[in-house]
Amino acid sequence: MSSTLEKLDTVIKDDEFLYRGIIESFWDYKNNKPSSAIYKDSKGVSVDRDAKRPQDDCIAFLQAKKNFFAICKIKASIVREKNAILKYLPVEGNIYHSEIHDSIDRIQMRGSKPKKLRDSSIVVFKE
Amino acid sequence: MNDLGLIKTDATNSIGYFHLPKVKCHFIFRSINPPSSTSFNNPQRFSLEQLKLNKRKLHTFKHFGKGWNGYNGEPIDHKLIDEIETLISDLEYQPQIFPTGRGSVQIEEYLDEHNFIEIEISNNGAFAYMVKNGKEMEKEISIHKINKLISEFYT
Repeated sequence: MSSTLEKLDTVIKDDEFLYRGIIESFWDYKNNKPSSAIYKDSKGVSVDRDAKRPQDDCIAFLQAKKNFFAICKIKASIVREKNAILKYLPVEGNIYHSEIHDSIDRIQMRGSKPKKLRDSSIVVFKE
Repeated sequence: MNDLGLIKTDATNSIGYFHLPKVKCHFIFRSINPPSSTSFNNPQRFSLEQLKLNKRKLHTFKHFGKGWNGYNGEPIDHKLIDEIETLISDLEYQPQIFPTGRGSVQIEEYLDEHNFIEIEISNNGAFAYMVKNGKEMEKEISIHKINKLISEFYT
């Protein structure tokens, strides 16, 4: 791990944004927004915390990983308001990697929670 | 006396046809520009175009390998995809279809903030989240009841 990792606060602040890449299969052309399916993963929903980076840097970092069709962001405080859990879990090659879980006991979100998170997400990049 | 009459009609928007009293035989042709989708009383109802689109989209899911969504996306079981193709072919109302990163498929329809439905289908069953007239409902359902639930959503 790089030394930069040690500089990041392990607690994700409420005013941080979390970025998530979206491939075209998730895009709802009828309503011009991503499906709530973007927030349905088996091992926690991976997101990149901004960690005080400018938005353009956050987008470029994600695009360097994969040529995403769109990128959205959601504020950490909103994730917590919807009763989801945020975990900072850096991985090799991505010190910003974090995950959204349903709760302390449950990883996968279902029902209303993914839809509410999608509704609160802001699309910041789209092809 | 005439032996033959030709009448052009639009099968789904017909104002009816008539028999000329002195014509022995009538042929009725559909309009050369039929509607792009089959719709009946409700414009939300069965859409052939949406069904074709959904089937094409479903088939693309078969090419998803591990990490297909740019994260840890799991491949979607081909048998599940085939089952969903059969399911949507029987649906009275044609929803939209999306993959999920956990190997399931979500069918959904969004009318407005107070009326929408999302059903996630996996090898373990189906889970529905529906809001109708602002009233929220979440429950596990059996796959053979999906058509009924979607019909209820639209009524």
